[in-house]
Formats: sequence, structure tokens, C-alpha cells
Amino acid sequence: MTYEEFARARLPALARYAVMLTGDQHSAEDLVQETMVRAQLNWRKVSQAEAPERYVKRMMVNLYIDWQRGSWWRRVLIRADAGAGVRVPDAAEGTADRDVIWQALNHLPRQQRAALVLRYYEDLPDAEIAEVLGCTVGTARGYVSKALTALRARLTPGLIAGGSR
Amino acid sequence: MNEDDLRAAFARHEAEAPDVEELHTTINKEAARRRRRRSAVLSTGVAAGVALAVSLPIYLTGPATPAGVTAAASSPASRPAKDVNLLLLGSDHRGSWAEGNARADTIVMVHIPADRKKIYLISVMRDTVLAIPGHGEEKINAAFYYGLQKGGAKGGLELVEEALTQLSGVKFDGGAVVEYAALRSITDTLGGVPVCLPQALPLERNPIAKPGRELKAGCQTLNGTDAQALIQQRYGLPNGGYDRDRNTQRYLLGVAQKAAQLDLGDAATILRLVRTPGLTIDLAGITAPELALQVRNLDADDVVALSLSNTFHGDGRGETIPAPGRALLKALKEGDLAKFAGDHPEMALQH
Repeated sequence: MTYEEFARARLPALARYAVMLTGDQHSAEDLVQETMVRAQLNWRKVSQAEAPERYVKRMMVNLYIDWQRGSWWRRVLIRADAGAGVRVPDAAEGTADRDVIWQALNHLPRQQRAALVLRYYEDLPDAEIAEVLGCTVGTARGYVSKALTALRARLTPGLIAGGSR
Repeated sequence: MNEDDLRAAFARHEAEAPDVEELHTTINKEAARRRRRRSAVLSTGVAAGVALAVSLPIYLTGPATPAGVTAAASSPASRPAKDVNLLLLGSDHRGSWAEGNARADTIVMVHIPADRKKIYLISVMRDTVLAIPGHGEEKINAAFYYGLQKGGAKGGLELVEEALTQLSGVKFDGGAVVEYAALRSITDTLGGVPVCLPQALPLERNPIAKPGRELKAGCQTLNGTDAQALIQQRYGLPNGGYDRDRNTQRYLLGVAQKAAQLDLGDAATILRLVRTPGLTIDLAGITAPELALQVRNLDADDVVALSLSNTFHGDGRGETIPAPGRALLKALKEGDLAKFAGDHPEMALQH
């Protein structure tokens, strides 16, 4: 399989996946772009992986989790118009009620959000979630349960003093 | 909130996925841009290797010239000479890069036989795959990187030496690592370096040359920048890195010629050459002044430039050494390069 064939077939799914991780379109664009550029430059290695798509998704999750640490993100920012891709989690965007869950996701630590995406969007079993996140199965389950607890706390009125909106 | 609410929230936002067509184009453009930069960066090392080859004879003839040398010269036969093997590496390190970020893109084994009648240069293409001690089979240019992490430029030199020793059975008596900046500086300090190109060389996609520029066919003197451009130029050459190694050899012949003309009384120039920033010399195993005197009577015509291959023999991971290249290494080990070079003119640089 060539990179071109892979991209044609899987880019739409990868773009959706990036939206789930980042929570907004601009950041998703940056994340997919950075991931796929790297995949293309290292295509020989990627294509030799047992499951290239899973390999690329793992690359993407790792980039997303490293985001804040600045490793590649800072470089992206330098080249892009500053601010365009920056996620401002607390920006009040006049969200509809039904999107409170979506908004609440933005407050989770990245590993926890990634774990939720892998379980409830990708429907992966715990063992694979752990593999993608590069942690033990126990840790992966811990991410999911902590994330659910945090979301419920945030979505239950009165539990958070002076809630965010 | 239950788990289904969460699934539904994810599903609702699938529509926010960015436009795939546009993304596809942007990704390809960005990948192409980085690929260009990467190859520019990688080819930088070639130039450095050239500078190294140049710098060795300078070092050998240079710093120890005073009294001790004269004494050694008066009794050249007092001690049986042995073969001397040196390793010249061009590092692609650039000033703006992090310390440990460099590969060796020019790898030249320098063999000076016991009779001191010739100097052999043997280029090893940087994509050649071989066993790197402690790191398995990889391209030889990575060996420098690994060694660099442990022990700086000398560490890089040592690991490449070890890998080549394991491959060929030849032990190295010393070596040098040259960065691009050093190559330019050495070239300019020598007052330019003469090269003779068999045909014009368009400097297509060259990281240092102005767009559209080319080096003309025939003999000419290159300044530091053009020397770097020559050594970096891989695009447009039918045999890629192999042809580039040949141009590097042409440059090294020019350096040898210039080094032979150096006025050893010009201490300032000699010192400037030896102390060029970005040049690392390790001559632990040889007595420099003596060797310098012995090879000093040689000129560029006595330098025989060989390569392990003239064209690609890839196996998907990198380049393999074809049978004639292996025969060359065997001849090197057995001290039989003169005969080998005579029997295999096609493996030598065509002037």
C-alpha cells in the first residue's frame, strides 16, 4: 500500500478522530497534518507495521498528548498564523445545552480524553486502549473511570463551586 | 450523563472534521518541503568530509614542523614503516543545531601503504548498510550519530571506525571530522581549491547555491561556498550519492594539491587551518611529523581515489556492497591495493 492509497482511504476517518481528540476543527487540522506529514516521511516504517492505520492513530494520540509539552506544537505555531490553532478551553462560545458534554471534555487531561475517545468513539477494548496510550491496562481503565467521574461532576449542577458558565 | 450520551456527543461532532481534500494537499506540500530540507541537511555532511580529507595532510605537515621533524627526516629508513589508515568523516552538523544532532554523510578511508608511494582514498557511500557495534544493521551514517551521543565528535569517529573495522578487518590509526563551516573555512584559507569537472553540474535544489546556478565543466578553482555546493549536490546526478562521492574525491585531490604547495614556514596559515572551528582531529595512533615527511614528496597524481561501488545496489533498507567493492576491501586488508587498482581501473575516479 502506498502512502497515497492510505491517505485517500483513511484521511476522512483520521480527520474525524482528530476532532474527537482536540475538540475543534482548527486544532484537528493541525494535528492531522502533523501526523500525516510524519507518516508520509516515514512511510516505509508505517507501511511495515502490522496495522498501519492503528500505527498512525497511535502517532496521532502521542502527538496530541505531547501537544502541551511544546515539542512540535511550538513549531506549528511559528509557521501558522499565531493563535489560529490554539485551543482556548474556556472560551464561552454560546454552546447549546446538548453540547455541555462536548464542552466538558475540554477540561479533561489529555490522556483521559484520549482514553474516552478510544473507548467510546473508536470502541476499542481496554487492552488496545492501553497499547495505543503506551500504558498498562489498569492505567488505561483508570483514565476512563477518572474521566467519567470528572465529567459527571462537571455536569451535575451545584457540584462545582461557581461552575464555569 | 451515561455512556450513550458520551457516544452521541462524539457522533454529533463528526461533522466538524476538516475538509479532507484541502488537508491532503497541505500535507503533501508540507511533507515535500520537509523532505527537501532533510536532504539538504543530510548532504551537508559530504562537504565536511571533503574538508576533513584536506585537513589531514595539512595537519600532518603542519604543526610539528620544527626541530623534531628534521631529525626524523634525516633517517627515514631507521624504522620499518607500516601501513597507515585514517578515516575522514564529513558531519552534517550545522551551527544552529543541537549538539548531538549530526550524521556522517561523507565517509572516506585514507590508506597510506608502507612504501608511502601512493595515498588511496576509499569512499563509502553514506547509505551503505552494515553492522554497527551495539546497534545492529543500519546505514553507516547513523553510526556517527550514535557515537556522537556518547562521546562527541571523537565518539562518532570511533564508532564509525569500529563498524568499518568489523567490516573490513582494517584498523584505523586516526581520523578527522569536518563540519560544513570548517570545509568552507579551510577551502578559503587555502585560497580556493582546484577541481576538474568532466561535465557541467547544475546546482539543482542545492541548499547553498543560488537557484539556476551551475558549476561549469572543466578545471576551475572553487571558493568555500562553491566547494560546499559541489559536495552537497546529489540531485540530478544519475548515480546520486555515488556520483557525489566522486565529486568529493575531485575536491579532495584539489585539497591535496593545495596542501602540498603550503609554505610550511607560514605558521599563521597552518595554525588557522589546524584550529578551524568545526574540525576535530584524532591522531592518537600515529606519529604525525614522520608520516608527514614521508608523504610530502607525493603530489595529487599519487592520490588514487576509489569507491566501493559506482552505482546503486540497494536492498530496500539501504545500499549493499557489491562483489567488486568487497574485493577492494579484501585487497585493502591484505595490503594489495596497488595491484587491485591496476586491475580495476573502473573503480577509480575517472579524471
